[in-house]
Amino acid sequence: MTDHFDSEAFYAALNAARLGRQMTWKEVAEEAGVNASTLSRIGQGAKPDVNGLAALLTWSNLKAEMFIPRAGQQEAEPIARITALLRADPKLSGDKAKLMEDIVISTYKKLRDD
Amino acid sequence: MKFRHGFKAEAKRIAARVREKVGLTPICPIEPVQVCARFDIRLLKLSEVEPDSPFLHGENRKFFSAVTVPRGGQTAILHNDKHHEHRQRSNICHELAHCFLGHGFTPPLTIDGERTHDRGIEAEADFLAGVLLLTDEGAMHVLRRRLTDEAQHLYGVSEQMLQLRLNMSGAYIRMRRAAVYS
Repeated sequence: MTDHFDSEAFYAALNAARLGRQMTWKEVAEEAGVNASTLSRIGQGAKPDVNGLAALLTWSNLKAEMFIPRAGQQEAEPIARITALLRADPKLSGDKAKLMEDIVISTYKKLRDD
Repeated sequence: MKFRHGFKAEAKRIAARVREKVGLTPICPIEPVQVCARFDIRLLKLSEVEPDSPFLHGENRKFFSAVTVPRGGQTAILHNDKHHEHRQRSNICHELAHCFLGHGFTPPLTIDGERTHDRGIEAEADFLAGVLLLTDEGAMHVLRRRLTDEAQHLYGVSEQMLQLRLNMSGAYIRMRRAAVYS
């Protein structure tokens, strides 16, 4: 069956909202009124139940449609989805900039593989 | 760099909230490693993830400080562990500041292979990093207790960062005014 809800993107957006409010996952669960296990399950790729989803959308001010891929929409290659915030010399030559990109990719892969 | 209206007050509120969450008073030195752990942010060393990186040696070290990379619900800060210890603390706090300010992540390079660099958000992260390392209250504490000589060691900051915070926090001005009226 086709996935109609991108749980990983939803969890990533929740994580950004959590840090933007300087909160731990436990505090998010308490404030949103969901079980901590609900958040863990979403983090492991499970689809949230309707009540949990509603509570987390309300808490985060996110919209469900942001995580529902439109029909025919191609998902970007994982490597193209890698984003970062980089503290480095802004005036870097091409080869150094490429090395920087390699560091970001290695970090992303480490998060994926560990 | 001129900040958006209300930014400095917001940064100070964020720093206060973060300190409260890790159980620190406003004048306590902050431990960036402890903050990462409290907020489930993985802290990685460049020397462990990329042991052959040219940014670990000599002059090349200055080109790379740190990067924040999100993946799903995980966030990692990878930093250059070959920088001076004070600089490492500042680099990590800068990346934490990006997270706490909700700055959007971007691809590391543009399609032309150039570095993505937004001066506005970098300046915001610099400011919040400074407040995390030495709050306004901490700066006043340093001057009131005449701790200027030890402050770098106490707070784990560079001389440049210490002077920046003593100036920007208004601590110097307040001490001068207090001397005039006493």
